[in-house]
Amino acid sequence: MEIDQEAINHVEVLYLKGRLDAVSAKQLKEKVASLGQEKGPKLVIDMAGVDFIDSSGLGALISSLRTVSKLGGDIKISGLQHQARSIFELTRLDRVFRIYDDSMAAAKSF
Amino acid sequence: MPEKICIVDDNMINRRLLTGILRNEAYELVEARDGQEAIDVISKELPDLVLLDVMMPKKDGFQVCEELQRNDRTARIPVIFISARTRVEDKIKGLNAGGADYVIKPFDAGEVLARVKTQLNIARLTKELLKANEELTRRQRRMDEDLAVAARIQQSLLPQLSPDMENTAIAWRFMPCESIGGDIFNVLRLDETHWAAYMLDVSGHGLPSALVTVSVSQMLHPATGILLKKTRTSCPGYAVRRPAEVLDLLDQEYPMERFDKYFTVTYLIMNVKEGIIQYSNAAHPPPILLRRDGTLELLEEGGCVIGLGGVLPFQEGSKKIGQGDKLLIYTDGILEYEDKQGQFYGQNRLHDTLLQLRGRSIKGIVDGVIEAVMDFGDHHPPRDDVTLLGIGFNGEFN
Repeated sequence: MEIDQEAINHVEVLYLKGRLDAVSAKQLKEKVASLGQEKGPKLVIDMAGVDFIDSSGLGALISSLRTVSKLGGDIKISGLQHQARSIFELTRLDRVFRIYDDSMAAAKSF
Repeated sequence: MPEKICIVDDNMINRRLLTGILRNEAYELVEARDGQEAIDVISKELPDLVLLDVMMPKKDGFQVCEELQRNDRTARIPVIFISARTRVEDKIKGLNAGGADYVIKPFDAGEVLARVKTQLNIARLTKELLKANEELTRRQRRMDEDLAVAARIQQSLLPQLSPDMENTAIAWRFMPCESIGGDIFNVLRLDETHWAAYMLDVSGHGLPSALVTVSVSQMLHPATGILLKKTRTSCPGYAVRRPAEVLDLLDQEYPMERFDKYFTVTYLIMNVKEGIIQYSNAAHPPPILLRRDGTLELLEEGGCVIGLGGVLPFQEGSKKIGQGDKLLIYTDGILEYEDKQGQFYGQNRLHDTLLQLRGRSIKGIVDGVIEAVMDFGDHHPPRDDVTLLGIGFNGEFN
C-alpha cells in the first residue's frame, strides 16, 4: 500500500492507496506510531484510494486510534469508498471515528 | 571430505595433464579410459564432477553423459566436456546431452581449474538447496499435522451433538478458510428455562485468531461465572447475566492490545418456556429471525466491536418467538463470499435465499443456504471463515 503524507493547518493527513488488509495493516500502524510521538497528535486518514478493507485493516485503524487517543490526540477519517463505508457502518465504527467527505473538511474540523 | 572428480579420457597424456592441474587442489581423483569404464567408475564412485572426453572407444562422451542423466543416482553429477571438437554444433550437442560446460582442447590449466571450481560450487549450492528444501518440506508436514490437531481441538469446542433443548432443533456449518479459523459459536444450557447461544468472529484468520476463539469460548463456559452471576439475596442464588453485561465483561477482558485482535460477537439468551430472546450484538452481522409467515426481522441492537474498552454502550434488544420461527446466526464470511466478478453474496441474496427455503427444516435451511452461497461463487474456496448456525423453534411457548 502507498501512504502519502501532507500537512494541512498543522494536521497530518495520510493518504492511503490500495488494499488495507493484513499485509498493509502493519505498515499503517508503524506510520501512525512514527507520527504520534508528540502530545496531542492531530491526524486525518484519507481513504479515498482504499478500494478494499478487511478485519485486519480495520484493526490497524482501531489500534492507531487508541494509540493517538492515549496521547490526547484524535484521528479523523475521510473519503470512505462504498465497501469501506459499509464495513464502518456494520461494525458501528462510524460512531467511533468522526468521518468526513474529504481530507480538507476533516483537517479543518480540528 | 575432499570433493571427488572423475577424469575420463582414452589418452593417457591428457589424463596426466588433467591430473596435474587438479592434484594441488586437494581433490580426490579417479580415472576411466573409455566410455564403458566411465559409466562403471562413475556409478560406483559417485564423484562430485566428471571431466569427460568426447571421442572415445566403446561409447562416446555424449552417450556417456546421456546415460548418466537417465540414472537417478548419477543424473545430478555435473559433467564438463573436454574435447578437441571445436564446432559450435558439438558444443550445443554436449550441452543438450546434459553437460554443464564445454572446454576445448588444447586447454589452459587456469581455465580448466576455474571451470571445475565453478561447477563444484554450483553443485554444492544445489545440494544445499535440495537439503534445505527437504527440511522445509519436513517442517511444513509437521506444521500441517499440528494444525490438523489444532483444528480437531477447535472443532471439539463446537456443540458435539444437537443439544437437548426443549422444543427446538439446531443445525450448523463451520467452514474455516484455513484448517482452523477465527470463528466460533456454541449453544449452552444455563438453567431449566434459559439457553445461551453465541457466535464470534475474531479479526484476521488462521492460528492466532483461532487461539483467541479458544480463549473466549473457555471464558464463556458456564463454569466461569461470566454467564451466570452469583446472588445472595434470592433463591436460586444466581442470576442469568444479561447479554449487554456479558459483552461488557468480554470488552474489559479482551482489550485490543492484549492479543492485537478484536472480535465481533452476537450473544443471546433464549427463554425456552416463554419464547423470548434477549440479545446484544457487538458489530456482528445481525442474526435473522425468519418468521413462520415468511417475514424477516433482524436482531440489530448492540454496539461496536469487542476490544475498544467501552467506547459505546451495548444496547439490548428482545424478540418474542413463536412456533415455527427460525433464527439464523452467521459470520460475514457468508456476506463477503465473492463470485468471479468480485461481487459479494450480500445480505439481499441471503434474505431471498431464506425466503425460498423457509418451508424446510432448520437443517434443510442451513444446508440450502451454504449450497446457494457456494453456487454463487462457483464453489471456490472462501477467503474468510464461513459459519452458519440455525435454531428452529418447533414447540409451543407459554
